[in-house]
Amino acid sequence: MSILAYSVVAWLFLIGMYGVVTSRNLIAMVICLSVSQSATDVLILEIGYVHGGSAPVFVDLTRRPGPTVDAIMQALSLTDVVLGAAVSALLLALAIQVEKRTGSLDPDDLRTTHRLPW
Amino acid sequence: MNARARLVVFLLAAVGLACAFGVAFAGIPHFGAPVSAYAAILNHLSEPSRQASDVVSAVSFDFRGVDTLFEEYILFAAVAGISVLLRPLGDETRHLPEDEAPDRRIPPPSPAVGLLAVTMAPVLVVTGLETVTHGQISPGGGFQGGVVLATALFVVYLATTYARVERFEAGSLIEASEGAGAGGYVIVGLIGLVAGSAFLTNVVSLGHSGNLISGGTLPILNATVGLEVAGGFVLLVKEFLDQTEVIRGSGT
Amino acid sequence: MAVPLGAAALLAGAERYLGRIGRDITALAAATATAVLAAIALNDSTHRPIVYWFGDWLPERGTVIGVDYVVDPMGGGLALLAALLSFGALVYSQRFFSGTGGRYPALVLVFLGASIDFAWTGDLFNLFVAFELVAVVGFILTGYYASEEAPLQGAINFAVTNTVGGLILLMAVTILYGRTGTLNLAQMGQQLAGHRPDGLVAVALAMLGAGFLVKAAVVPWHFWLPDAYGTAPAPTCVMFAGVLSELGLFGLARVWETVFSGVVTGPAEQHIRLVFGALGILTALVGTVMAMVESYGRRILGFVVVAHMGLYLLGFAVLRTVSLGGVALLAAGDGFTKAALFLAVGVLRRRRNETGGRPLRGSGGRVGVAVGVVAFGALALADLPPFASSVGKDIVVSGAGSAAALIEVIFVITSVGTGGAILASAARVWRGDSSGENSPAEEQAESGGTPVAVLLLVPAVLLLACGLALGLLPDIAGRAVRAAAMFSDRRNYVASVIDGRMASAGPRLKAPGVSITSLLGDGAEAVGAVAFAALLLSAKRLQGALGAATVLLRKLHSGHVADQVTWSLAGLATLAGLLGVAFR
Repeated sequence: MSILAYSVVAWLFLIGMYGVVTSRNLIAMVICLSVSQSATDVLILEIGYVHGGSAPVFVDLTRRPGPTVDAIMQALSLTDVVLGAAVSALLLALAIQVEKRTGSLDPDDLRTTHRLPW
Repeated sequence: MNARARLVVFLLAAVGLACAFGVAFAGIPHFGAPVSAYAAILNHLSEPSRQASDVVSAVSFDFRGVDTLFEEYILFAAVAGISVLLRPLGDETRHLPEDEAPDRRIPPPSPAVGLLAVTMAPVLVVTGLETVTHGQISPGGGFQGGVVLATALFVVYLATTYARVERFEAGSLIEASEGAGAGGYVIVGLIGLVAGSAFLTNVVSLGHSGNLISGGTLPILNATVGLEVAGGFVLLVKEFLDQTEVIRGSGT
Repeated sequence: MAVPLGAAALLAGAERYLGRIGRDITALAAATATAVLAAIALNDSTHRPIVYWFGDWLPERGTVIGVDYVVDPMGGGLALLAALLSFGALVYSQRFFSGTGGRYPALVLVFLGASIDFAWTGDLFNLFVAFELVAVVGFILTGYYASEEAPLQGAINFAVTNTVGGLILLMAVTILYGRTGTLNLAQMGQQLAGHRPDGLVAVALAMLGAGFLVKAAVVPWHFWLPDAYGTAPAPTCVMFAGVLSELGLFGLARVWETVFSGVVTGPAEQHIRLVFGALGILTALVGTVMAMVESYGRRILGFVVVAHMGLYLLGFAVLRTVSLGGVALLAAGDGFTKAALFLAVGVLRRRRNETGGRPLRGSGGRVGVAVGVVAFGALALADLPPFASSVGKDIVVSGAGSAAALIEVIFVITSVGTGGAILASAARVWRGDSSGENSPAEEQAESGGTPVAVLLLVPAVLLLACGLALGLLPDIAGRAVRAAAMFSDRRNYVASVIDGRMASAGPRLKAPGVSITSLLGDGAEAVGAVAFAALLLSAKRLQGALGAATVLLRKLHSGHVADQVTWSLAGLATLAGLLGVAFR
């Protein structure tokens, strides 16, 4: 079970990176980046998971339930999600401007710093 | 480096990384092992000492409140950044998308969508407010509720045209609410200082766990975050929607 | 202590309701207040670190609950540097960014607040959040000229590589939490200390290292930096060159000293020296060579930053307190100098655009001042005494023990090479020898058709003067070494955080005296830089040969974002492998 759970993390991260490296479209690249990002979320939640654990919310419970999962990790993943959303939004904005300027979303066409004179 | 060389280097790196991940993950506790001492302490502390029954909220806004402050500023920076990046540039002019295809009129939204929007918008607003205000009791809070609130406006947009939404929305009011949300968090933090304690100390009366007003500063912080997130997301989507109107710059 | 941060953040939020003048004044006032408060914090922390618990959550029975700030002279100094540089950047920029309302100064202030958080925090996850916030604001400011392709590309490369770095960093944070059950740096070090370092520790250190070194732009994670620094607005570069890159290395040093120094000992520590030392040398050499063959002014400075990061990493890799103090002083002094250089080059380019590439010789005193700043800055980077860089370099070398000779050689090569490259470039601009340089239209957008305003030059001169003054401060070497001693004293760090008191008086280290020979040596380096610049200018054949010899290296710097991510991952895999072997 452990192996399967943590393999998912490695797989998600690497497949996302594969997408970033090979993608021919900036928007696809942003999506791949968020795939890798979700690998970190999955890892965070897995570290915090407890077998048979319930949510760390103690409302309407007269007796203490069994174990609860790790609230810190849940708070961290919340932070991570917001962060990912912010970065994706900014990258998409950059992609829009690139498309407007060059008429292309292919990172291969984006070679201006290379074209600066030596 | 051409695509093939890049792929070869990447695959080599990926194999190496897979091994590294394997080694690292072998060293952490098994999946589903009991939580750390840190988490156990927080689980036991948050209700007696803060009257907050949702530990996640207590962690985000009290125990580790600084993280959330910076998180909020990441969102603030992103929204400010997008309006900087997508600002109308000197060589661009605005006109409505209809102009580009004068012979094809955009069909008006169907009445069914309109009805749906009319029903949904108030529900969304209420749900959003409920989520924001009950963060300290049950799952939810400013981030989640703020997003729900922001969607209310987009439902209205779906039912009408963007031009109409734009005419009627109060841009400066939304900006103000976003700024107030971001600044409000800092002010709440400073209250702790004024009260002679540390920054972000929970000094407001705590109330009783499970009540709407409980957890001290938690609901206040949730409200500021809700304000910031709702305002931020509306601005964010507005900037992207504006792009549908701005035609390509003449310079390229 | 938290007030500077709060003030900066609060003003950032309230900025947009003020008028233009009000906005400038508010922003400058916030930066000044932050600088003053950072200076107070720096002064208060000279003898023992200030530990500050947010929300008053003190550790309970030895378990950390909240998030803490630990202000020591090193972090305090970095915060002060950041505040001073943002003040300079705000002064320089206040006339040119009216188009976007209060957002530019607001973003600069958020950047400042995040840098301070980065320097002071005692919590690993908080460090990660600060890392991300700095990166987010950084690439927004890079892409400011969104109407041009080059800045957009710079911003995208910056954003994607640094996001990948952030993801790697976050995974390392999570793995370490899984092992130690805490996010606090002090407690993490306490939990790990005394155990044998195993595979998890090696991989976690590699991932943290790679994450921070992306920001510090160490080869092979450096590719984004010249693209970003070469295209960002000049005042943004001030913040970047002086603060952003240093933050990466600071993060690595902080994590090393607090978390890993207790677990990695003996032969493993020796191997770590080799690995990081080799990375530092590689970075210094690649940066120097690229700076020599580059002809576009600000990209030269970008590679100079890379080369100097290599030197700092090399000094850090000695893992000795004295050298660490030297690195801190060197980084602070160079930070001021490089910031001044970016501003002065910005002024020169603007001026050149107005005159259509004619020689600048004889075009007035103000331009002369700018050229003088560039020349002096280049010499300061070449360790001309009595600039702070010179003192810092001598301390690094004196603390290096058996590796001193090697380090001295690398320092001389890098200083002469980079100083010479900057001088040669300045001389080309002065003579109007445009050699095919085109001037991006962005620069024209920045210039309002006005002659070089005094206001633009003041920050550049002041920043350079700061670098000079820092070197002349009485007992600056001793202060730096004592700061480093506190920074690397893990036992006392843990005791102050968890028990709230110092375990023992820190070790008293005496700063090495500065000898006449080392001063003469530094002077000779500066002369060497001038001679090398003359050589670069006069010998066209040398230029050609350099260009031909580095075709492959230049091809690697393609500016393609996918290449950069690929190299980052390859670097991480290699680093993890090396560390895994090192710990065996």
